[in-house]
Amino acid sequence: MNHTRGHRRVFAAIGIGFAMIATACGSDGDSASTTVAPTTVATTAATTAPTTADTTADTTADTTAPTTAETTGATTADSATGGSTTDGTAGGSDLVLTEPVKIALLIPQTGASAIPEVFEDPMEMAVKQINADGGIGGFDVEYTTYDTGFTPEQGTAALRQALKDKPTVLMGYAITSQVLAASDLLNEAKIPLIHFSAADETNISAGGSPWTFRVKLQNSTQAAASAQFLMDELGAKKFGIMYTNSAYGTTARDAAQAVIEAGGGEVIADRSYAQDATDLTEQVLAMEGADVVLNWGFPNTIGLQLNQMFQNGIDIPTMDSDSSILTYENQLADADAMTKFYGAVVCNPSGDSRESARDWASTFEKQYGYNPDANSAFTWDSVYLYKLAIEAAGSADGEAIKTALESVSWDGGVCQTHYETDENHNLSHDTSIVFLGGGKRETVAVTKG
Amino acid sequence: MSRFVALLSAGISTGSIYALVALGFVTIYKATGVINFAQGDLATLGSYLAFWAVSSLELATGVAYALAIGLMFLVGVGLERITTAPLRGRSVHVVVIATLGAGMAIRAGLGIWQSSRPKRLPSPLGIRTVGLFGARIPYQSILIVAVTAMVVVALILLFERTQFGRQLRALATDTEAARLQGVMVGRMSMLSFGIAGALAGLAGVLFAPVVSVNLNLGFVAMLNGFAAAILGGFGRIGGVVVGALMIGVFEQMAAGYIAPQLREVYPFALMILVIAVRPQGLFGSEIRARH
Repeated sequence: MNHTRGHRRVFAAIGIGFAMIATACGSDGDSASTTVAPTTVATTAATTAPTTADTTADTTADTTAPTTAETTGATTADSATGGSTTDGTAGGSDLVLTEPVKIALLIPQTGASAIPEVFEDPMEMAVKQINADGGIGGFDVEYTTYDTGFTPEQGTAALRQALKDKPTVLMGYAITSQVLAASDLLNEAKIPLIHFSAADETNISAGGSPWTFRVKLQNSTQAAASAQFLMDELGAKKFGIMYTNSAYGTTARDAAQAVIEAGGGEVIADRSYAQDATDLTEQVLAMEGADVVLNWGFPNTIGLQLNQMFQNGIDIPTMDSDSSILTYENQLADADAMTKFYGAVVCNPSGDSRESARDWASTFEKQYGYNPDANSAFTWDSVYLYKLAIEAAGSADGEAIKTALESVSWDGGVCQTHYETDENHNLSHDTSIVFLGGGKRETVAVTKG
Repeated sequence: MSRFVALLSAGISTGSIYALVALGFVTIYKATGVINFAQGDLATLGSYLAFWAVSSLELATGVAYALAIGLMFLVGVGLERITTAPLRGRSVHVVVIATLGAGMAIRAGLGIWQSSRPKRLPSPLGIRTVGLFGARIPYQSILIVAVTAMVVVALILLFERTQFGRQLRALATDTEAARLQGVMVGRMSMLSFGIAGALAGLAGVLFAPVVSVNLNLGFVAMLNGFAAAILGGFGRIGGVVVGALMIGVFEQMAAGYIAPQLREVYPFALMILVIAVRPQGLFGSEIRARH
């Protein structure tokens, strides 16, 4: 047996390597964040009479594209129930194509955070429904799923593979860096992409590809709406803000802070944390004295936050991001820790005020065994948005579909009550505020962004 | 005062989890000279097995925990058969990479088996707390510290007072000499992987009720557990435990009183600082290389 110092160096090198990994995991995405001007939102109680609609101006209506009659078919409100459609649009178009519409679904299928079924299941369900109703242009719709993983390189590789298969349209990409990395390929391919990324960095005004359309809510819109709700409805003045140390978190923090300060409120504690944090004691203790906590994180850390707030006796309302639904559905926090738990989501189909959305959620749950979240609902809607756009375009040409998408105004979805494309190609604008607790998953307000 | 106590207790609790993972590293290293980089994923697997036992087999929580830990012993043995036994005689670095690959395979397999959706593993103690100097200490934290303390004592007795421990120390000192003296290297290797698997399983079932069952559960614990092993001297149980507790407490205190946004950096900053001054770690004499 030799005793050497060689392995000591190896261990030290590995340890330092881990240090770099940990630092990278905890690196702040501030470089990508922007200072967001106060976003005006109008809060409209969904289940009660409008309460604060007059407190803020709805600026969206002034900037959105005009409605095109061709794309305003209220077709899927019927489809949402799972029943056959009866109007003339679904399956009844005069459009005749020379080959089937092929949708490329680009989603992470592998990796620790991948939950592919929330996209694959509604895609399958929507395509089956459309085909049962006659397809598009005389053909059944086809779709293929491509694994994007989570890195820009993996995402680009998946897109290259998809483009080889000559899709009609593209859908997916939940990771901002992947959307940005795909810009050149998309510009070259001239095929529209409806993407699921929330970050403001993919805005066309920020340099994003004009071939991209966002069906998910813009992150800053959602965070601003959350802060506005907490001020208007819960009377919050002193805010504690928690967020993951990524562009996702910091953009939300900036947007919320702008609204809070514009409304005369105050951020008394501002704490970031790693996406895979396993303890939030320091962050939670810093929230003492706040009226409410706004947390922009992921399911694991939201569950941890709620439990640790309860354990430390911090009994105040907390508003969390899209991940709040998954936190609630998987009971990642104790029931006692979720008595004042709100989520800001792009939609909450099973708790929607529209019967068509609730029926869709019910049908989905019967078919797939789980209560669909916003991801599933806007995936379904994206398929129908493409259907409407292709029918309005009158062809499967990418440029024509893009032009049709740019003038979409549609009320037939199961997620948003109204889709309308703005100058940054955002299709969704309303934030649903959901109360999660006591066995309820109830939409308590919809804020117009 | 309450804030200090809350941070201190959180530090001791997380440090205890790091210690359980680090002890797995040390156990295998003593017997084989290999650093098992699947240790974090073994902890993750342990938490999933416990969740499966609770949700699918509908076992009582305590029974499910015990079953998971027992199964993890077998998984550890199996891991040794796959990653180490066939590569005996090859460079230790090859074996280390094999363990890393095995860890990734475990994680991918778990994703296929249970999906990536996070899950909740209940604690028999719930999320109740006990008051101490104005702070609220979760019972789960007390359980983690108490169980870790018992395990440390048991491992010290195992390594110091038993035939297995003597053989392990003989291997750690000189593999060839131990082999010539009749120590069965293969069996010792299997047992050490089994013990490390059980330790990882224990860490997983204790940690999961705090952070939820998810595919990344063991990753951070592995990173910090490895830092703890280096800090403590990589080979001495007491040193590794002290190193783990130092990392856990330093991480909390520095986040609480210096700069919270640098929290993930503190464990490694401490480790780098210590090995810059004392390369063999706080309690190590020298690092042994095996060939």
